[in-house]
Amino acid sequence: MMYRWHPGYIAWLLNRVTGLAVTLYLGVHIWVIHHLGQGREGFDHVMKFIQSPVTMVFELLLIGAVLYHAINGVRIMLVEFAGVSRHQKAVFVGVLGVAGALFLAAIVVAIPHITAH
Amino acid sequence: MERQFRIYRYNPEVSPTPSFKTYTVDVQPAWTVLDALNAIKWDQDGSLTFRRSCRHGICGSCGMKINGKNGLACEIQVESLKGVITVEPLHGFRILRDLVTDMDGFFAHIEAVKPWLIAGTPPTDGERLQSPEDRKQLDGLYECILCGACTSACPSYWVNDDFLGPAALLKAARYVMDTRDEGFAERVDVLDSRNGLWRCHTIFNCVEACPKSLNPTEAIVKLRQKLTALKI
Repeated sequence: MMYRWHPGYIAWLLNRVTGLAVTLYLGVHIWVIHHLGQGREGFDHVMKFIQSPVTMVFELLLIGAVLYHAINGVRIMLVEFAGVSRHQKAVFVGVLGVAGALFLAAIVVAIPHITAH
Repeated sequence: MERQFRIYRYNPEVSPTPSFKTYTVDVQPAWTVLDALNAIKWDQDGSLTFRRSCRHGICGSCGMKINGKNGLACEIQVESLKGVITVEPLHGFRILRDLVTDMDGFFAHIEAVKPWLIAGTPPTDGERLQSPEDRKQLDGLYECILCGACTSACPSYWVNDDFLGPAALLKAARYVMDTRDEGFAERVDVLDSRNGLWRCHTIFNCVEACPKSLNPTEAIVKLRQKLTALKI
């Protein structure tokens, strides 16, 4: 069930989706780290999988999720403490702009690493 | 001009399954959706059930979902709507019949925040006078007509109808922000409860839905700031 598409709703939905993605990543991260207990060979084996181009694309998406979640968190704080609720739509556009620009920078930095494999 | 109205129909005494029925109405200039609903009920199908009273956007009775947007049937001009006009009851509330929803829980939440002036001392001069500046602080808070459009659009309310909802919290803010009111301490327990202020996730659906262009989210944020200041 939903009401209507509008910036506040989209901002909340993206916040939930990126929050879940980051939480899911935490589980994956712990799973990777636990291979340390299997010695060097076990850890190298999993790291080989982690450093594959496909996984690196997912890591790039993770960076996007973290960027949006963090910067939207600033938007929520502005709504809660700085009285910008009447301008929340413009602030959301700002969030997308800042997160988008940083994500673009991350892509530029990551592409050589992904294509090197 | 002939217009088609696709209206949500539900009568649990006849069928447990809701359906939509389309009516064609000869709409006159300047008719509102409520005028069209009245025309259907009076001339085509007397079984169509909906609430209405003042037909001037004050009583809040005719809150419903029209072409996907919550609003007052008596305020929305048919000419402003395109295509077939879909009319549904407000979502989030139990549907009793057709466009009539069960508002008992909604009004119980309003009552829970004690929507009246609480003052410990009697007025000194017959009336409780207020400066124009203090009175201005209530702008955007007192105009709520309790139509339920905001609470109906709130995802937090959809998953938990024990949540007070934006209308009740806006009503609480109307009194808490009143400089003559001394009842904040009496309202704290319900506002600070697990179904109170903290269940709002600032999604702003309530702001989008309000036919009076009020901002319940802003009121909720102000109450949260006041409550936080009290705790610190």
